[in-house]
Amino acid sequence: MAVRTEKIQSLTGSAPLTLPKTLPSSSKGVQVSTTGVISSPDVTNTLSHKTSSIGSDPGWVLLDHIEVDEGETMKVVNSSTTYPASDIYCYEVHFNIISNYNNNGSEIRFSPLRSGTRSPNGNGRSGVRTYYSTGSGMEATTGDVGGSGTGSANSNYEFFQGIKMEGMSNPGLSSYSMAFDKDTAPLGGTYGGDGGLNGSFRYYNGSGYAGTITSDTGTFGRRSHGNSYNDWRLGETHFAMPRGNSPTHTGKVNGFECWNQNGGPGGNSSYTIMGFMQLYGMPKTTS
Amino acid sequence: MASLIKTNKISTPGGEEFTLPTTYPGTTSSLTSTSGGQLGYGSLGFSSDVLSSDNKVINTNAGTFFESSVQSGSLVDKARIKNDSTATAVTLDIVPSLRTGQVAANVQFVTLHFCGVCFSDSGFRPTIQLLDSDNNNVISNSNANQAMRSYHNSGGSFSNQSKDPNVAYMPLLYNESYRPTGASAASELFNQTALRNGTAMMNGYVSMMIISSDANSDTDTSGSRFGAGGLILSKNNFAFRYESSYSSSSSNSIIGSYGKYVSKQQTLNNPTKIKFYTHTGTTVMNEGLFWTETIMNPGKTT
Repeated sequence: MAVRTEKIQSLTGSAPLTLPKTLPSSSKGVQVSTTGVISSPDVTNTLSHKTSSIGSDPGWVLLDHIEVDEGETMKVVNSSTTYPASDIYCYEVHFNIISNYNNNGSEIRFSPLRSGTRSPNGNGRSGVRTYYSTGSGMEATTGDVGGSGTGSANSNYEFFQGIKMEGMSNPGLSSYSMAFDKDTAPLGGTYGGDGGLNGSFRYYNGSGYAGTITSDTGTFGRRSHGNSYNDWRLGETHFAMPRGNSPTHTGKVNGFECWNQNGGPGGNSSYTIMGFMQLYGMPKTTS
Repeated sequence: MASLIKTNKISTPGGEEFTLPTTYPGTTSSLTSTSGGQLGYGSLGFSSDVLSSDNKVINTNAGTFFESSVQSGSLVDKARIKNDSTATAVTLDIVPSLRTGQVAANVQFVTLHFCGVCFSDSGFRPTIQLLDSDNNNVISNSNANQAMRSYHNSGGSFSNQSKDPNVAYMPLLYNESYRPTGASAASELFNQTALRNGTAMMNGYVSMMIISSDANSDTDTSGSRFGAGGLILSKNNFAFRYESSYSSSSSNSIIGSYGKYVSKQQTLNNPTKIKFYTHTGTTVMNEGLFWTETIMNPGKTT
């Protein structure tokens, strides 16, 4: 028999507990607030770190995660007050990016953000990037060089990575989430689903001398258009730093933004991107 | 007015009794219960500590369970050099705090990460050594070493080496540098904003798979058969700009990889520390962040 009441209280205490009024939608942990209100919110299993801490020295801290169904750009920002940008020695960004348009090759441009604004130090950089490609094996080229402007202009990128855009149909891939639902996912398009860019990069967060460094996994994806399996680039890693020019932008990076080279603000609105990005930071030691 | 029931205990129709707490929690907490039914307040969700579980791992060969707990990758040690002092070596622990049932020999996969590493002069030859619990070198000349190194420079040129270096350490590709003006934390490259032509810097990681200290030594201690003794596999990746003097035009950058295994026809002690140092000269490091991450395997006991 159920006893109906809103509060229960120990006879020997002065702290009544207030019962929740609704049932959770699935099994969840029960919380008690500092005023005794019992609830079952979705926040009990929040994972805030990728690796553990040693005393006060943290390992990789998860700073931001986004999942975009379709948009001009994708952006992750470090808004942490516990580990602000000035405390991060290097970042690691994980992503799966799909650009849905016409099955052709294109590029995804990346820019660091300072105070949330694109601020690449592209001029005067040098470096190298390596990758495995179909047919040629291990290859290398000079490091990417982008622009050094401020703001959302298309040329304000620091490095880029090739991508084959999706050209799927019946229906077109208009959102990221529909790709994971068998009732709504596109059914048409030869070689559909082989586009996109996956992987991660690391970024050294010096005040002026900042840039991509070697990554645990690198990135994986196709670069060319069409339906023949050419020009895959696997395990692509970048290293580039300012060399002969003073850094145009100084101060610590607090995030990253990416967009299709033909899209983004002011670009062709058909060149959208979708996917997820995660931003991790490795704080400098507290000692 | 909200209805309120005052009672010391509440119970289910089956008779299980739960005793109510008498205070509020200091912060938002999960509701917990002891085996005696005393309700209370516990920690909420995951902490920043490693994810761990006491669930047993099935050992299908033996049809039993490993006794040790399962543990995710964990940060083990971390060190930073800030240009206000120098270091000839950085030695970091690779054995995490052991949980119930774990032993140091459970250490299976270790990665040393390094970022923004600068050296005070040319002549630094980045090198890895593993130390056992008595701080003795694990890698020695008597080990059977095999190595493969390759790298690409900024012009796309490729160099590949596959050989037995026959040395008592794991050399990485070399790096040269020069110290920023002013030996203080204020002049640390990490915080510099002014032009410094062609600044050198090293980044990367070294991953070690510790196979066993004494693999299969009972059956074959004399031959060169794989698995005759202790075995460690290593895979390294790094990227850096190397410069021994100021340059506004040089593009001396490298991305390289380096694989190696170390085996021995006798016991190869389990490492407990990893050391990053130079194998020639006395050149020192003046800057950089180093940290180790480890994954434990409860099935690895030797």
